Formats: sequence, structure tokens, C-alpha cells
Amino acid sequence: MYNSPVLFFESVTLTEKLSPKTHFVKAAIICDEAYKEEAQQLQAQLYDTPSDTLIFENPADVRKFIVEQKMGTCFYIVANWDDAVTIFSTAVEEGVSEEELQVKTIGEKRKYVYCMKCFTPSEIDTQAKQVQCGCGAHLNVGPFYSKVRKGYIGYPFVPEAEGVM
Amino acid sequence: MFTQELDFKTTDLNTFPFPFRSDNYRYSNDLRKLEDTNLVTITPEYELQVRAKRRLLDEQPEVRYQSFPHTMEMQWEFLEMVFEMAVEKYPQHFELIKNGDEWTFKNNILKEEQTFTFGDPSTLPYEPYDFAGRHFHQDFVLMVNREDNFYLEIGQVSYAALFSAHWNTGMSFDEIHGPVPFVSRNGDNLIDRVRKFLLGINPGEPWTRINWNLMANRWDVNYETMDVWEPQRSLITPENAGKLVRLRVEEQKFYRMSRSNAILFVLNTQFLPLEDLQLRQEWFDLTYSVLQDIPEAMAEYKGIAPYLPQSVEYLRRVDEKLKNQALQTQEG
Ligand code: HEM
Ligand SMILES: [Zn+2]
Repeated sequence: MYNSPVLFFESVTLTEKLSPKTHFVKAAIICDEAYKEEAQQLQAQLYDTPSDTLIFENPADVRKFIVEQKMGTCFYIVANWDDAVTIFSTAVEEGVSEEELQVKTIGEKRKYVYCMKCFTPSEIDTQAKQVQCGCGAHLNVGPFYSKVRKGYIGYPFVPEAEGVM
Repeated sequence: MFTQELDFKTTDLNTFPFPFRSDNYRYSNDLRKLEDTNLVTITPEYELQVRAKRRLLDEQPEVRYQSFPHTMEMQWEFLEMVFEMAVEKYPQHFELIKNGDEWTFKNNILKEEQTFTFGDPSTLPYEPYDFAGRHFHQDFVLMVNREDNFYLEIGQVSYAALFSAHWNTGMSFDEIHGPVPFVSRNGDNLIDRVRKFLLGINPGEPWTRINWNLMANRWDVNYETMDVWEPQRSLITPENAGKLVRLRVEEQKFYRMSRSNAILFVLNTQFLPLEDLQLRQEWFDLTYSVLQDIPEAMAEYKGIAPYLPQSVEYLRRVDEKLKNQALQTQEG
């Protein structure tokens, strides 16, 4: 569905520190091999809530793992950005909602700007406030994100007119 | 660019949806029951506006028209509704002949006639919603009700300010209003309140409100062309503001569609140069007063901050002149 959740720079599911969400009967953790320790730390905080862990290898395994979980399971993802996106979108495809998800990404996040001149998204430095699009347009990076366009709005401007060269 | 040369303004002041009802303006849930529920109106600028709209749709199809493939049934519902309204209100201008599913629509103002099979999009030159919308000068946006929100699933938008059908497609009511400093006089956030209000709208009982902005020597103020119009705003002076600055008004109407349950959002955009405000003293006084008291966040959001002071100064000078004239008439 066009309005399904997507994982983006400021997604509500993103967290700096995984912590058990309340009102769930079970926890399902999916993590990159390298971040197994994070998964164990979360497990320690879950006390008597049962949990399952899957080490991420490929989307097919993730799908199978998600489908096997019962109702009332909360999903926790710990992975690098690209793996997290894959796991997140697989979960969403299987009907998992953002309320049932918590995501911790490790390393650099990715951010995209959507050029309002040429209507294409492109990856930008996550700190950048102004960028130049491949089409030549200078863009002010706005704070609004479109799930359909897959980027933050890029408002075109003329550098000379704004006193920026 | 041709599109900016289009120099039109409302000439029949009785059709101008003047926006101000008191001498200062703040955001609020200002929806009112709509009295004339038929959305079709033929003004002296009808043909000019329809032709300009079609040109925009043809030149920039991706910017001006967006729809999801699953909306086809809703599109026919829209077509039927507007064509029937047109015929009911202006039988001399529009005709709709139904022969089973074979329909013929006639627009006698534009001298056009189209026969098509209702329900079969391949019998029309455009998608049904796009086709129907091209016979009327308003913008049409279909907000589909899913759970407790509305999502923009079809948009034909040529005139509305800061409204990109391309950018806003698929967004919820809340996402669309993200950029608006949408707080009431006492600081309440209005997004939830207004959305809940829209959820309560019933078929056959449309609502209306008027949105307003100013524009500096240009009528197309969209995100796509921000690099062009932003710098132009600095050209406004108190001397030229009367001609170059226009009060830009969107008369908005909200209809609950009975079959799809979506909200049809209709925008009638009209323009009046500041100098024409003098034609109605009450309009002049209200506008002068409102523009002196615009909160900074609102002026910034509307994009008028760079030329608001010049516009107010223009109105102050006119006001002074009018008062002096009145005084002289009294003395003389
Ligand atoms: C349901 C259909 C509606 C749609 C599709 C819609 C769409 C929009 C859009 C696209 C904008 C410009 C946002 C931007 O700057 O990017 C806007 C602005 C705004 N909308 Fe809506 N709107 C709707 C209903 C309403 C209603 C019912 C109200 C109020 C009762 C409202 C109040 C406003 C206000 C106050 C602004 C700021 C306009 C300005 O100050 O110039 N809208 N809307
Ligand atoms: Zn570009």
C-alpha cells in the first residue's frame, strides 16, 4: 500500500537504545551478526517475557521468522542501515505495524532529498541543509518527508538571490 | 513563461469570496455550512480560467494531476456528481444525455461534446476525474477516508497556493498540514480538531471556508517554482504594491462522497489587486487592518514576509488620501 510505513531518517520506530515495549506477550529480535551483544542486552531487560532471536542473513529467513511469530509479539531490529531497511520492509509487508516495531540502527543513517525541480530523490549527507541536485538545482532541505516520493522535500533556490555562493 | 502572463482578476465583485470577517485574522476551525451546495459557478472569468488550467495540466501533467490506479471507481463517482450539478444549475450551458451507460456531455460555453461509456475509462481522452475537472475552473482534491484519517489519492491542482499535487500525493491530512503553523488564537494545535470535524461531515451537507494569501506579481506560487518567485518578492515597493500585490483567495468546499465515503475538497481561487479593494470601502478597511496584525510565523509560512510591510505602507497611503478627500468634501 502506498501509505505503508517506511524506514526513513526520522522514523518514529528509530531509537538510540532498545528497551522493552509494554503490553506485548513476546519479543522477537532480528539482528546483524555483528550486533548480537545488543540483542543479549535487550533480552536481559525482558525478564520473564519470552523471546526469540534471528541472526539476519537474508530476507527469506526474516519473512519466515516473522510469519511464525504469534499475535502480540513485538519486533526489535538491530542492524546497519541497509539491513534494517530490508528487515523493516519485510515486517511491514507481513502486516507488522509501527507500534509493534523498534529499530536501532548502527553506523551511518541514510537520508534522501526529493528535488522539486526534477522530481527525483537523491542521497545526501545527513547534516546537509543545502545541497545541489544532479539536475543542477540548488535545494534547501526541508523537514517534511514523503513516503510516496521517498525523500525530504528539497525547495529550489537561486544561490545568488540568497547571498550564498 | 506563458503561465505568468495570464493577467486576470475577479471583475464581478459579487463573485469575489472576500475572506475577512473581523479586523484581525488567526487560524481557527472556520468551517461553515455551505448554503448553495452546487459547486459549479460560471463567472465572467470562467473560460479564461478553464483554458489556463487546461494549459497547465497539459504542460506539467506530473505537477498538476496525480491519481492512484485503484481510484477508478471514485473517479466515476466524481464525474457523475459534477456533471449532474452543472446540468442542474446551468441547463443552458451544460447537457448530459444518458442512454444506458452511453453518456454524452455537452459544454456549450466551450462548444465541446464528448460521448463515452460510463465505467469505461478507455472511452475518454483523460482519466474520468481529470476529464470532468477540465470543464470547471476549480481545483479538485479527493481525500480518501481510511481509519480516522484522510489520504490524498487524487489531485487536480492548478491554482491553489503552496499546494503541489505531485508532492502531497498519498499524504494524510496531518502530513499535508505539517508545514502550517496551525495554532489557534489561544495556542491550541488545530490539526486534530479539524480532522475530527471532517470525519463528521455527512453526504449532502457540505462545508466551506475561505483561505487567503497575497501574491507578488505572480499567480503561480508553488514549491516547484520557489527559486523563481522568492527573489521576485523583493521588487515590491509601496509605489507599485497596488498593482503588483494581489489578494489571493481560495474559497474551499468540502463534500462527503456518498459511495466512496471520501471527502472531495474543491478550491475556487480568485485574485484581486490591492488597488481594487477601494471599490468596496469595507473590504479595504478590513484588509488594511488585518494586514497590520499578521503574526510573524504566519507571514513567514505564507511567504509574504518580504513584502508585507510595503503592502501595508501602500494601504496606509491610500487610507490617508481617502481620509483627506473625505475631509475636504466635508469642508467644501
Ligand atoms: C481535507 C482537505 C484538505 C486538504 C487536501 C488541504 C490541503 C492543504 C495544503 C496542501 C496546504 C498547504 C500546505 C503547505 O504549505 O505545504 C494547506 C494549508 C492550510 N490548510 Fe488545508 N487542506 C484541507 C482541509 C483544511 C481544512 C478543513 C482547514 C481548516 C479548517 C484547513 C486549513 C488550512 C490552513 C489554515 C492552511 C494554511 C494556509 C495559509 O495560511 O495560507 N485545511 N491545506
Ligand atoms: Zn533535481
